Amino acid sequence: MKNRAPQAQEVAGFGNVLVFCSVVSVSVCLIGIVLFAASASSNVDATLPLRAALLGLTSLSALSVITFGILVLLVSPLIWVIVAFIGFATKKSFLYSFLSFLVLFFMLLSIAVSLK
Amino acid sequence: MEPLILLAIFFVCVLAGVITSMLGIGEGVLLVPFLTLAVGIPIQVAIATSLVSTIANSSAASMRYLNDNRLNLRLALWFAAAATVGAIIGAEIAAQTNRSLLTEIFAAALIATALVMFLRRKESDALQGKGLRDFGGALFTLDGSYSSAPAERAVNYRARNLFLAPLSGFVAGNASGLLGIGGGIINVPVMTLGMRVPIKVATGTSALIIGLTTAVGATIYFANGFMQPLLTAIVLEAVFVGALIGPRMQARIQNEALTIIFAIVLVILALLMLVRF
Repeated sequence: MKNRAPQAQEVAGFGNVLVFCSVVSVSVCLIGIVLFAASASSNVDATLPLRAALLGLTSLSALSVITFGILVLLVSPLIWVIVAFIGFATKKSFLYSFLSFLVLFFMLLSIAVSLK
Repeated sequence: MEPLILLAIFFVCVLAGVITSMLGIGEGVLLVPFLTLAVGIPIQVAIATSLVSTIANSSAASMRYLNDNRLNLRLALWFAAAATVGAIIGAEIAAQTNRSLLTEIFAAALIATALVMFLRRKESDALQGKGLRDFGGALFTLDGSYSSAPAERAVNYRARNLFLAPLSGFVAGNASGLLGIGGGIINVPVMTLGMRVPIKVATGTSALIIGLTTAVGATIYFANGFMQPLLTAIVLEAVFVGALIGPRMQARIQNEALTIIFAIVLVILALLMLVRF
């Protein structure tokens, strides 16, 4: 059987995006954990609304930094699909570009409908 | 929460990350019972935490699987496109369905699938290209090749019966909306038994799919304020570490052993589902 599609080289930059998003997210969360430990705060179970978390970033609040790291992780799959969409489009593999678009569209639609 | 408990959570989550990344399944099956029953965390927070950590698992495991050609991106897109649609419909009809009956049927199907996987555990790579009609695998370039460790033998494969990919993705998406179970336990058996994809490629491909399909649920829980940042960060760091280890361990074990482990996990999950309802 002829191997026509070695996956590792299939979409340029897809692997790099996986690594980049993961490293950024995990590193930011780790910095947040260290900041939390250094602050000697005991409010371990605290939750933080997104708006407050983003505002707290300017003062490097530990929970804000962690929340930002989590946000990067949540956005990662959307970025993967966008990269796949562009990658397949540039290779003129329009079926898979369309499938990537469908995944992206329904992900955004689900989020929009659920948050309405 | 005491620092020692947080440390215990970290180590349990590393282990969970190793197991789930090897099998291409989400964290929910292990972490939700652990966080709620053993640690006493509210169920909504536990679900939110497990959803985020599933993306961490997917990210870390997919890096390795992609590098080793154990991840077929094209195949993943067929499953993910249908799963995202299925999840919307599943969530909509969840309120009008007899979930108890559905769970019993689904649990029985999982046990039957586990039995078939166990009986056909030796076939594995040997069956590639035999006995099944193509149904689009060649047309849609669903070929691939990976190095089958520990023998380091190159295995060429072509996904057969392509119609099963959107069908399974749709069912898996519905099941996540209806029953709260992840897609991995449906997608991996369909890929191996129905589409003749080697189990190592099936689990690697599933690892990416679960990240794509979990992102929506995780974002919704996040936006609704169910996320405890510190707990989530500790769990996702631990799962990330585990998911870096899992694919490396998986590369060293035989397909037959991996199939048996997957079948055992399916039976355990089926029993857990029956006990819960």
